Amino acid sequence: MTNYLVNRLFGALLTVWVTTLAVCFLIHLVPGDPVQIMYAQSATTTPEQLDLIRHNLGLDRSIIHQYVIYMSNLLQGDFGTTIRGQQKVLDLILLRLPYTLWLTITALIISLIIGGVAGFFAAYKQGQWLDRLLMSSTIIGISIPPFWLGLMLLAFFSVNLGWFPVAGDGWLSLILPATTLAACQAATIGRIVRSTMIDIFDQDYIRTAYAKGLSKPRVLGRHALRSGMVPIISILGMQFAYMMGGAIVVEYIFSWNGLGRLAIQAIFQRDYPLIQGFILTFSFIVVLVSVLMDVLYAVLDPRISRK
Amino acid sequence: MANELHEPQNTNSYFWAALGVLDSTIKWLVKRRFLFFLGLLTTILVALSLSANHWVPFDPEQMAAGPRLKPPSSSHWFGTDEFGRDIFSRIMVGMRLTLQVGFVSVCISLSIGMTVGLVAGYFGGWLERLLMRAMDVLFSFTEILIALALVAVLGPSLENAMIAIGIAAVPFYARVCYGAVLVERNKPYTEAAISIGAGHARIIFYHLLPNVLPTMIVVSTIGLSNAILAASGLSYLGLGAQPPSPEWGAMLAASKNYFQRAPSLLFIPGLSIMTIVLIFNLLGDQLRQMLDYNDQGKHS
Amino acid sequence: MKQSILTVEKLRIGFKSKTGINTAVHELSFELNAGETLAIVGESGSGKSISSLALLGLLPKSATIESGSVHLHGQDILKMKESELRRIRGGKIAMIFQEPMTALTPVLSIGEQLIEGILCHQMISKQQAYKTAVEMLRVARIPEAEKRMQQFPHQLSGGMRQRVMIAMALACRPQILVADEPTTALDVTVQAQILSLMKTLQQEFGTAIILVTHDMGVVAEMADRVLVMCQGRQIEKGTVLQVLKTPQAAYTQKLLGAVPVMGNVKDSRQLISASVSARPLLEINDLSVRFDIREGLLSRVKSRVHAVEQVSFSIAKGETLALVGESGSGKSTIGRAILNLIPIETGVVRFKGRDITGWSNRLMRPLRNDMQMIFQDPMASLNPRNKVWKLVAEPMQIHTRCSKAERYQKTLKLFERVGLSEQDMQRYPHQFSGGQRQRICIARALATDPDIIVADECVSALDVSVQAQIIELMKSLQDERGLSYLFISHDLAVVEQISHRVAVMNMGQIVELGDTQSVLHMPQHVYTQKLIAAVPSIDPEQTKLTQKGLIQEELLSPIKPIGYKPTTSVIKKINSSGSHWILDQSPPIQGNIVK
Repeated sequence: MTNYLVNRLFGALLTVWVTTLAVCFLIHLVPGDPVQIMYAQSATTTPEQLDLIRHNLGLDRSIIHQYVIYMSNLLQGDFGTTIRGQQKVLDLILLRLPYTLWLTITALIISLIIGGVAGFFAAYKQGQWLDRLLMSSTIIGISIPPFWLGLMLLAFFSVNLGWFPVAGDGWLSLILPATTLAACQAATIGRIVRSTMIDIFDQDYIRTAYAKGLSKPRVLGRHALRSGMVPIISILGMQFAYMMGGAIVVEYIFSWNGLGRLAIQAIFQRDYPLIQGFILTFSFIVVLVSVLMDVLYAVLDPRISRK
Repeated sequence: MANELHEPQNTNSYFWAALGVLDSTIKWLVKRRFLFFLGLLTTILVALSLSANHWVPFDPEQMAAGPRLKPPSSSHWFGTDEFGRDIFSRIMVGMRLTLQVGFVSVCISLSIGMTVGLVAGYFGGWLERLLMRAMDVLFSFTEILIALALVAVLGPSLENAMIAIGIAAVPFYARVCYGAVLVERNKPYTEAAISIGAGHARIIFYHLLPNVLPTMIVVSTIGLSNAILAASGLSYLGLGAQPPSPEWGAMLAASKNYFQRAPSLLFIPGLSIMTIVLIFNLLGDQLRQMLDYNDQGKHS
Repeated sequence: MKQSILTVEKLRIGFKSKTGINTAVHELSFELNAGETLAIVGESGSGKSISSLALLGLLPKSATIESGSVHLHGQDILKMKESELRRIRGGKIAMIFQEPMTALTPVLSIGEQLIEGILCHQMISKQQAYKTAVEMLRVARIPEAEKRMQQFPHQLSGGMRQRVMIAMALACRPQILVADEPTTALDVTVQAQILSLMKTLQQEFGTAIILVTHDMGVVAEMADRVLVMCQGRQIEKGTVLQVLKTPQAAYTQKLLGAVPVMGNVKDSRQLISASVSARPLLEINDLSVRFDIREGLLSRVKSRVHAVEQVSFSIAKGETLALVGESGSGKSTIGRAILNLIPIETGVVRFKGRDITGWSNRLMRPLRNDMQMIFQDPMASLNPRNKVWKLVAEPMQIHTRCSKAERYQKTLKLFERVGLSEQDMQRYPHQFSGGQRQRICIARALATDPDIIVADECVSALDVSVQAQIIELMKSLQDERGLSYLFISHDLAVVEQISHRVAVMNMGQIVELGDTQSVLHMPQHVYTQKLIAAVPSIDPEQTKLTQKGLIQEELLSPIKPIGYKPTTSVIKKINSSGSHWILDQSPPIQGNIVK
C-alpha cells in the first residue's frame, strides 16, 4: 500500500509543478504585449511606468530567470499583487476560497445523497418503472445547462417570490446556488452509481451470498454496497473537480463571494497575477482532493491495503 | 458435424438475398425505432440550422423588427428581445452556431485525443507512460479551467471558445481511447494478427480502429452535449460569442435584467440549449445500449 | 435401504424472451438418496448448470420455472416463500460454484464471510461461530486456519479459495451439497485434492452430493449414480457402473467414445526414422524468458518472473512435440517466445538451421509464412468485425501478391479442407460454434502452408466430442502435409492422441522429455508421476482417489529478485540414446514456498 500511496503523491507533486510552469508561462501565450493589454484602459500610465511594471513582473528577463523568480516568490507565499487594487493576490484568494469550498462541499454532499440513493434503487429495481423513471429524469438532469437552471431558480425564487436573498453570505443565500450545483451533479452521480451497482449485482460473489441463505438486505447492504463503495469513491474525486468548475459560473450568477466570481472578474479585467493565482489554487485543491480520495480508496479496498 | 448450418443451394438466390437484406434492415430500424427517430430528428435540425438564414421570417440582427420585449404572438412566435429583435429568428440562426461549436470542438478533441490514445495504447513502453502521465496532469486541470485559461489568454470570441473547449476535452477522449485500445490489444486476435505477419499500420487501422470506433462514437455524442453546454456557458459569461451574435448562451446573458417583463427571453434560449443537448444525450444513450448488445458477439 | 431425500419431478425451466418462453430444460426427473453422489453430466448447453441453480431458487431473472416440482423431505421447494427458502439455502442445501476466483466477496475477510453464513442458520454466539469457522477451515485441510480468518480472498490461491467455499458450504452440515463444476477451473493436481476432500467430508458428514460436471473422469471417480443430459433433455440415468460401462443411449455411447483416455490410443504416433535423423526443423537451446515487475515511484524493475528457465528441445519435420504442464509452468510462454512474440532473455532459437533468436517483427515477417499459431479461445482470436473468409485470407494478403479472386479460391479450398462450406465464408465469427471457429483458425494457420504450427491449448475450450474431431483434423493435416506441431496442453489424454514426444514442464523447466508412450506410461520424474496420478480414471472400478490423500499445496514462486542467478540444471538420461531424460533433482528446484 505504501508503494501505491507514494506513487500517487509523486504524481500529485508532478501535477502541481507542471501547473506552476504552465501558469508562469501563460502570459506569453497572449498575442501582443501583455502589459499593454493589462493597462489598456488606464490612460494615465506613461510608457516609463509601463516599463517599470514590466520590470517588476520580470517580463524583461529570460524565461528561465522569470520562472526562478516566480517559483521563489511562490514558495515564500508571494503570489503577486493584483493590477487593479494593488492587493496581495494570496490574501484575496484566501479570503474567498472558504466560500467556494463551502458551496462545493455542501453541493457534493447533497448530490451524493440524492444521486447515491436514487442510483442504488434504480439498480436494485432494474428494468422496472422506478428504474425507468429515475433514468429518464437523470438524462434530463444532465441535459439542463447549469447556468440556466441557476438563472431560473434565481429569477423565480429570489426575484419573484422573494424567498431567498439575491446575494449574500449566509446559509440562506447558499441554498439556491448549492441546489443548482447539486441538481446537475446528482443526475451524473445517480447514473454512475446505478451502472456500478448493476455490475456488482451480476457478480458471482453476490450469488454465493444468496446461496448461503443470507437475507436480501444483508446481501445488498454488506456485500453489494461495500464492494460498490470502492469504485464509486474513485469517481468522486473527479466529480469534485467538475463541481469546482461548475461553481465558478454558479457563483457568478448568484453573486456568491467565492473564488469563481473573483476569477471571472479577473479575466475581464485582464488581471494576470490574479488569474495565475486562481489557476494555481484551483488546481492545487483539485489535486489535494484527488489524493485524499486515492488514500480513502486504498484504505477501503483490501486488495490494495493488503498486498 | 451435427451443429453446422448448411443452407440449401439456390442458384437464383440474388433476388432473395436482396429481399432478405431489406427485410432485416427494416426489422432493425423498427426495433431501434427510437434511435431511428433521434437520427431523423438530428438530420432535420441540422438541415434547418444550415439553411436558417434563408427561411427565418426576420433578420436576426435587425433591431426594432417589432415592439420590444413582447411575449410570443402570431407575428413573433417566440416574442421579441430588449432590442426588438425577433427571438424565433435568432434562435434558429443561433442553432447553427450551437451545432457548429459542438461539432468543431469535438473534432479537435477527437482527432488529438484518439491519436494520443492509439499511440500510447499500441506502442506501449516509455511512450505510453509519458503520454498517459501528461494526460493525467491535464486531466487534473479540469476542462473548465483549461477552457477558461485559454479564453482568458486568447481573448473572448466564439472561435477561441471552440478551440479552448476542444483542447480542454483532449485528455478525456485520450483516456477513453487508450482504455479501449488496451482492451482490444490484449485480445488474442491482435496477437494472431502479429503472428500472421501484420505490420503496425495494418494492425492499427484494420484491426484495432474498427473495434475501438464504436466506443469512441458513443463517447463523442456525449462529448458533443458537454461541448455545447460548455460553449453556451462561456458565452453566457461573456467569454464566448459576443453580442450581437444570436448564440443562445449570449442571449441568456441579457435576460436576467428583463425577467419580470419578458420571461420568454430567459426561458426560450435555455430550453433550446436543453433540447439539443437532450437529443444528443439520448442519441448517445441509445448508441451505447446498441453497443452493449453488440459486445455479446453480435455485429449489428 | 436407500432413503430418498430429494425428489425432482418433471422439472421444466425456460428463458423469457420477447417472443415467449424458450424451454431450456425439459422434464427433468431424478431422486437423490441420503449420503450418495449423483453426477449430472453433459456438454455445454445441456442445461445441467441451470437445473442445479433451480434447486436453490437461484435462477437468474431471465429464467423461469415453467412446471414441475422439487420435493425436499416432502415439501415442494419451488412453491416456498422466500423466507422459507432462505432457511434451506446453506442450511439444508448448500452450493459451491465453478469459479473460485470470483466466488468470494473481495472486500470482506474470509472469517467474516464464514461467520455470517454460520450465524444465519444457527442460534449461537459470535465466539462460538468463530470457533466453528476455524474448525471448518481445518476440516477443509487449510493450513494456518486461524491466520486465514483475517485474510482476504485475493490473498489466497484458486485451490485454497475453493476449499474455503467447501468449508463455508458445509459449515451448517447441510444434507445436500450441490457442486457446479467445482474443479473445472483448477489444475489437475489441485482438482484431485479437492475431489478427495469432498469425498472424505461426504463420508464424515453423510452429505449427499449433486455433482454437475462435463468431465467423465470426475464422474467415474466421484459418482454413485449418473444422469446424462443433452440439449436440456434427460438422456440416461443409472448407477455409475451401468452408465459408464454399459451405456444404453446412443448419445452416451458417443460421449464416452469421444473422451480421450490415457492408454487407449488406437494408433500411437510413431515417427518415420528418416525424419528423425535429418536436421531438426526447430531447435531450442537453453531458452529463458523473464518478465519484469515494475514497482515503486518511477516504475522501476525490482523483481522478475522467471517464466521459462533453461529449456532445450528440438522438433523434427512432421513431428508433434507436446508441452504439458499446469498453469504457470511456462508452456504457453515458450510457444510465444519461439515465434518471437515476446522477448527472449537468453538462449538460442533455431528454425531450419537459422538463428532467429530475438528477431524483430520486421525480420520475422517472411518467416511468419512458415511458423503459425492457433490460440486457446477461438472467439477472441478472430476479429469480430470481419467476414471469416477475409480473416483466413489475411495472411495471403500480407505475404503474397495474389489478386482478390485468387485469394478467394485458395480460401475456398482451405474451408473445404477443414470441413466448412462456401456459404460459411461470408459469415461473421459470432455466427459459428466453438468447434467451427477453431476450424477457421486452423484454416487461417494453413493459409501460407507453414512448416510448423504452435497450438496453444487449442482444444481446451471445446466440448469433448468436438475436441475429438479437431484432433482428427490436425492429425490428418499432419500426415498430408508433413506439418510439425508444438502442442501445448494440460490434458494428458489428449496429448497422448496426437503427439510423438512429450515434454513435461514445471516452474518454467522441463522436468521430463521422451516419447509419448514412455513418458506417460513409465514416468520417471516425481512431478510427472504426480501429474499422471492426479488424472481421474474413466473406469469407475479403478478409482484413483484415495480417501485420505490430501497433500498440502506447496506453491513455489517463480518471482525472483533482480540479479538472481539460477543454477544450471543437470540432466539425467533414462535410455541410452538420451531421447528420454529427466531433470536431476539433487540441486532442488530453487524456490520460496508461497502459501
